[in-house]
Amino acid sequence: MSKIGFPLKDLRRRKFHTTFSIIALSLCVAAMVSTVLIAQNSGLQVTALLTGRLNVGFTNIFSGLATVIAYLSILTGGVMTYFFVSANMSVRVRDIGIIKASGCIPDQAFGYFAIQLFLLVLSSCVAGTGIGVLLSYSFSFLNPQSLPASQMSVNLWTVFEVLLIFALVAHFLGVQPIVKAMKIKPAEALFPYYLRGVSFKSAQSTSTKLGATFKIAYRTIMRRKPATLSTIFCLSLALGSATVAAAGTAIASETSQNYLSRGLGENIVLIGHRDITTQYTYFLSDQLQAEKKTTINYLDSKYVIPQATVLRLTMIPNARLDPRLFLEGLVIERPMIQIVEEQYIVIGDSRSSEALIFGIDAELLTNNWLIEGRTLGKADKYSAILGDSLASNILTFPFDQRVTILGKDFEVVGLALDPLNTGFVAYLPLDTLTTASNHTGYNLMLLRIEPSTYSESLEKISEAVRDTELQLVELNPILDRITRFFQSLWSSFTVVSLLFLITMALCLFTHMTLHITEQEPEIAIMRALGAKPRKVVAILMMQAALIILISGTIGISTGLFASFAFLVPSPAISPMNLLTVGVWLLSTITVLTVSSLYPALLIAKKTLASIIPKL
Amino acid sequence: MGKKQTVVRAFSLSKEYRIGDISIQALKNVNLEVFENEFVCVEGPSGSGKTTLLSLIGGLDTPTEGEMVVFGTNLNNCDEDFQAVFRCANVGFVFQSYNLISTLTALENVAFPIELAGFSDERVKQRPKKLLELVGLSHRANNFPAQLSGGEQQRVAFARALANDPPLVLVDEPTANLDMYTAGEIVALLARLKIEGKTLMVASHDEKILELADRLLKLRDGSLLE
Repeated sequence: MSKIGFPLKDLRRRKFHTTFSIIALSLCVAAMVSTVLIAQNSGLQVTALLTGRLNVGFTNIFSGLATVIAYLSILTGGVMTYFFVSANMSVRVRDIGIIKASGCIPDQAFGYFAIQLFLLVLSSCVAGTGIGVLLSYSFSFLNPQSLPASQMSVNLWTVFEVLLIFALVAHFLGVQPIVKAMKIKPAEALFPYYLRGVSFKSAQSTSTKLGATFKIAYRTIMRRKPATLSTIFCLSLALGSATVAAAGTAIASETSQNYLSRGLGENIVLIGHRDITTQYTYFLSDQLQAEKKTTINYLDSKYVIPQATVLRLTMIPNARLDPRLFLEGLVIERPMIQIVEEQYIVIGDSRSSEALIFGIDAELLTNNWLIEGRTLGKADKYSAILGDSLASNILTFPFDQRVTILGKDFEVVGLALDPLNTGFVAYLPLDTLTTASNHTGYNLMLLRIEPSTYSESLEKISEAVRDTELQLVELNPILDRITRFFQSLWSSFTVVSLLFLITMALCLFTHMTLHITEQEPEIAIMRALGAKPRKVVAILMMQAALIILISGTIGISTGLFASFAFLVPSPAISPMNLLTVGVWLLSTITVLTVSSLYPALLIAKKTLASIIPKL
Repeated sequence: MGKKQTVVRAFSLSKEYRIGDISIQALKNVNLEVFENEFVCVEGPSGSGKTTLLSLIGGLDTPTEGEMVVFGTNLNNCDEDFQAVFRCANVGFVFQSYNLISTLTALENVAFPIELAGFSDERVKQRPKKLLELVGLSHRANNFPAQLSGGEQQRVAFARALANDPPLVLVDEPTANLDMYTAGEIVALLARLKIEGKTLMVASHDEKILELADRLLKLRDGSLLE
């Protein structure tokens, strides 16, 4: 038989353990692969290899979360490998004793189990990659708007890269219990009561006021400290990862929505010539990969909004007017000279980028971007607000450098997270842009309507522009579409949290099954003494509850703290977020309880006669 | 003197264990009666069915054929819950390998059946102390089984068997794993229980125990010899 013949045969013989190990590890790999693929195809940067199709701001902010989820998947997979290999080794200790006692060289025995580890990791990588790719495509089919299937691609190099990291982590952690098991002396391994990490030292003392159920449960898990700690560690990490995936994405989704509505403004109506409004909505729909843009001359006199119309619009109550001059142009970086230790250092170059250029009246703005720095003031003449992507593309130190637009130099006073043209925008004072472009008047009007009188005001605005060449476009449906895009993007990561949840359930199920097998003789004694099956279930459930409680406290609180405090900058936390997190916590605890309840019920269902021979 | 009440009655009792295709006949057509306050000793070589017989009497297992009636209750027809309550109240067990619950102290092991029976907190506190005193282990009350010697564990097992003051005590090979001195202590304990009027069924080869018995049942290959 070949060298892998024995280990393979052994794995096939231990169907229950092998299947559970492969499923759990495959789900971790699937979580990792699907996170990377969805993020890659959605434009979120996860590794240095990927580039985005979102604003640099959105990418920077949210790719942090996606990266953390991907790396947590790798780490969880590695730790799960450690858990399942430990569980396997715990039931193989006697075999190791026999193998060693019969004169087998420890290296040979080590090789035997190392091959099993390799086979487990390999099959998990293959199955997990398949599931991960399938999940990504399923997500793409279910959310064609945010991730069209036609544009889905599998970057094999990226997949290989993450699988390689996973395999290294899994082998490094998975080999530890094998090394530990190999160090056991044959006599120790053949000791009839050798159990997985059981300590035969005195049990931990607990208050005598507590009932027998708690005392037995607590002391049993304390007696099996190494196994219990390993399970708690695995569950805590998986729970933390799952919480980050669930709570983090709920917050990220809400925060995206918040940034978008601030950048675009809510209840906004766009008025301008058909060409101009069409162009504006094209640029707004970049995330949705909308239709191809056309080239137009923005300064053509036919696009100027007549003064009479402006006046009519000004008269409409509950509608705030935001007149703009809108054009496309080149934004050029101005290099900066700094003196450092009596030496002149040139910072920057003359990089340039095409961008949308808006002339705005600072006092009439209808939106409220998430901005670093400040917005334009009344006194500003040669100041500019740049979109995040534009600034990051052409400037090294945006607030210390200047930009040239239409031959004039502008000081950068603010960086805005603007969904328009994926952040390739520049906002200048309206008067300055009018002068620089030798143009008078506005070619675009934004009107913010009070929500309470929306329909009424909309009617009046339609009336005001009737019989002109101007077109009225409501921006709310577009804002909804972009919001839905982000929501569906984030919902894909919720699937990752579900994968983690199944992995945790398998981990706890395996732990409880092994734990119960070890306790079977004592369970038989208790029942022989008159304990009803439900008393046995209560003791076992108490053990599971203690493990879930400790893991939950560590994992969920760390995950929540990380999600709320670190992973999403300026997070928007709404009651909906809290409700989502609450539902997540409840379902996690329910699933974990059910997964531990099943083996407890199985042993309670067995007749006393079937376990009594072991007394 | 009135007629003694029957505590255990077995009719045509048989027990067969199946391991795959192989069947082992542990008991064959056993009929017996044990009366109250009687000390019955079951003797026989290893594998003759002694432990199986005690298990059937204690309701730990069910016969393949025949009936087992203990205190007028046919244990064959009872569900697991009823059997648990029945054992807790009526039968005290002393297993061959002690079988103390490793996570409970000596005192807590004795208290466990009292708690299961639902007695008051006061009884749960006081009775185990008295029983440990009876078996001479008051000073070891807070030790865990792993910290006790074989003889001490056996004595705790006796105390636990008496926790709910059961009218029937079943004892399986109580001296098999003990040295002579400790075995002597266990025999003394059995003698004391006999004086107290407990119905005792003891599976043993120990001659000193056989001498104590009112009646001797001989089991050979699962059959009871006349």
